[in-house]
Amino acid sequence: MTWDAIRVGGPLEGLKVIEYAEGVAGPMAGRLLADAGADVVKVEPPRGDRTRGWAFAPSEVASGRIFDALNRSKRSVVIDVPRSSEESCPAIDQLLSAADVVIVDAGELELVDRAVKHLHLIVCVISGWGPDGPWAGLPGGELPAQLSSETTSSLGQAGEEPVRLGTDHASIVTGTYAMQGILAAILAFDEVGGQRIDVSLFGSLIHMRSTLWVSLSNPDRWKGFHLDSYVRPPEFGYQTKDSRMICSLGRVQNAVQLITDLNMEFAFTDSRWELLSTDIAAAVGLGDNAAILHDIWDRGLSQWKFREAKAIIERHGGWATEYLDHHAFSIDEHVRTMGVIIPSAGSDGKSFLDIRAPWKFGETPAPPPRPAPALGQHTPQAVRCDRDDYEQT
Amino acid sequence: LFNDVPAVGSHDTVLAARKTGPLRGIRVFDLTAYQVGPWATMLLGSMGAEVLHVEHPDTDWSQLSAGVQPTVNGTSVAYLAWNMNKRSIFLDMKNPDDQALAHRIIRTCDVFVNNMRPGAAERAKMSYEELSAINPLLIYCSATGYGRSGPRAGDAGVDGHIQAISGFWSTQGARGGQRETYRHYSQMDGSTGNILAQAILLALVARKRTGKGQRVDVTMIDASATAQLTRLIESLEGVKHAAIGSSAYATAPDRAFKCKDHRWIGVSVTSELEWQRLCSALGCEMLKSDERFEDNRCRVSNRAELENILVPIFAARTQAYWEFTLSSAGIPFGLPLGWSTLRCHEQVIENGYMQEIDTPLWGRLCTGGPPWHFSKTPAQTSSPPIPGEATAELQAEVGLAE
Repeated sequence: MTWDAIRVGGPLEGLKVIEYAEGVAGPMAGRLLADAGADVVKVEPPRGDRTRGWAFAPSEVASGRIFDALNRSKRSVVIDVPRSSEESCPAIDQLLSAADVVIVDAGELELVDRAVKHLHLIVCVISGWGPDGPWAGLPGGELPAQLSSETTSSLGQAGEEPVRLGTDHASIVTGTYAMQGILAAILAFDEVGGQRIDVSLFGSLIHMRSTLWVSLSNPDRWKGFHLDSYVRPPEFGYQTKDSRMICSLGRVQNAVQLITDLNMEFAFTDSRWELLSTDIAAAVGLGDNAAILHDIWDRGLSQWKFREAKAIIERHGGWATEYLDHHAFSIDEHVRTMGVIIPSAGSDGKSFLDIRAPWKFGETPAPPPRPAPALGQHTPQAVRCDRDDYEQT
Repeated sequence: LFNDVPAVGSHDTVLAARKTGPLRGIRVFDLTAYQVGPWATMLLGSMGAEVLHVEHPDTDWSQLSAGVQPTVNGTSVAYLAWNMNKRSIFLDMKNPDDQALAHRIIRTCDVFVNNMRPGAAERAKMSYEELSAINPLLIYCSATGYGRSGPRAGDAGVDGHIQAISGFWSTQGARGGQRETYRHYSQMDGSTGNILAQAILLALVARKRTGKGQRVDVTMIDASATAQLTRLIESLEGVKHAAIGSSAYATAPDRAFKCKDHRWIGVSVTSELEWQRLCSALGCEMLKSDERFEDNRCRVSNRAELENILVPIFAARTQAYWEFTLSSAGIPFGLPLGWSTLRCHEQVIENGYMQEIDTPLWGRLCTGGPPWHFSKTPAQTSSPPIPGEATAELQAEVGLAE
């Protein structure tokens, strides 16, 4: 069988990838590979990737867009892979023979077994908990990984209901690491041929918290925001008249003048003035004493609009940034100037707003995204894997 | 070349990684500071690349890597946490002799990485034009906060600030409360570092095909957007994210429940099969045919009603009961674990997800192990270098090469 990769440019032009993975992590790796120009064929069971049914209630409009964003620029092939890897399945075996890379969820044991028999393949296995250990066979997920890696200890209050980090951080970071592992294995291919790579949601989040683990190992004393994230109350930023803000004052030379310029003379007579004035950097934002002094700054900054406060703080060498939610971020003048938000086509043929690939290459620019596929849209073509067939669809 | 590295403590493992990792033979000139750049090159070092990390010769060790607290034996924890798996050289990039030395070293490198502000690389004689002329195969990577132009181009690209502006704070908070900041300030830096490492690897793969180096740019704004893709896409469709505690926005039931012994268990149902299994495991067969919960969209729409049914069920039994029941039924769940438990947990140790590293000056440090396991080209984690330790060797190497 021949599989002529769709060639659209980009650093991975010509790379043939099979994605037999659902949810967020595996498809995220596939999205990044496709963004970089790889030809990604998404193999789905007849019921389809579970994210095709993910939705945000009560909004009808958002239904399915998570799938569309994660799966843009891919082709969809429906194959009912037999539960036993001994059973013949020419459709999947032919694809595996022709591919360079396979992304597969660890729960799909039969496909992992089939894939690793092809010694030329780079097989990236995505699991909840990792390939070894007592939890190796258990299904994992976003919240399970967040809780067990204690990612949730940096939110909410100890003893209360855990607060989930709202972005699918475990899954997206895992997709990012999967992509790195695949690329590194491509670089090593000439020397060692195909190999298996394992990444997990649990391991990825633990890795992302490395700064904290090193801080906890044997610090000279308990100091700094890494350690403090355990003991601080929830952080909402500082409230100005029109938005919340964060500020950093490490470069401020004249703290008294800054406080005066912000009309915060009331702080001079506060019993905490000495603490505030002796190390201005530690008194605000991520500083060591920020939690103790928070109400003083809230009172002071609430007299100003954000732009006014920012101008005063910057005049003294500090930094200030406003809190934007995702909508405000997407329409921010700078973000629009950069061109981060782009139109993309969904699996229903309609346009939706997506974001561009996160890297910019001087010589091998990433190709523009192609539509996300409807379930099984390319089945007859991609099994034969003929380029002309694809282009007719 | 590698035989000349002094075998100080864990340098054995630096050597091991350079012999086994998938990036063996790749050399990286690492002119980066703070977290984004060092995080990226640390990953490359873990995969076997030889990373030459540059520090200024006169730096106070407590102030390295932005002087993030705490210190460990007087050295900033950030330097230690973000510079494992590297060699370290001293160069004063304002000194013409050191600039010339840097150029000679860069001739031997595959990758140059910097996260200087726009314009600073040019002043240090480290512009793309200059370096690509010296070494046409060079991958030249820059990471910035906001890119090179636009109204915020001069703003500080610092984790807490990028979290604020990119909305990373805006999709979480205690149930019914205000949305809140993520207090482990490092995730936007780390996510950008991950994207930067990816960009470098992509350019190296492209070089195999094209035979040419190239310029690569990454910004914290782009990387932060990618790191929040699913929620950002919902927002772009008009969704408003309220604070809903441990519950998920796009799937249900998917939250933490309090058990009878006041411990929590996270239960994550994200497919129809898992929903069927949960109903059976809870002994609630009638929920399977309840049209309010017919599929994920219905369950998300009726999340409050569904959770009102499930909360008392979980509250009636202990965490251990639910751990047994859910694992037997094949339903994804997780238990909150703390640092001291994690550090000696079988699941962590058997997968090497945390590693204990002996260091020459800072005692035993625990850090996250490599996030990828390669079956044929294993990655490694090794001690951060003593600042400047490889300077003389590099001087000798490129001096002889002249």
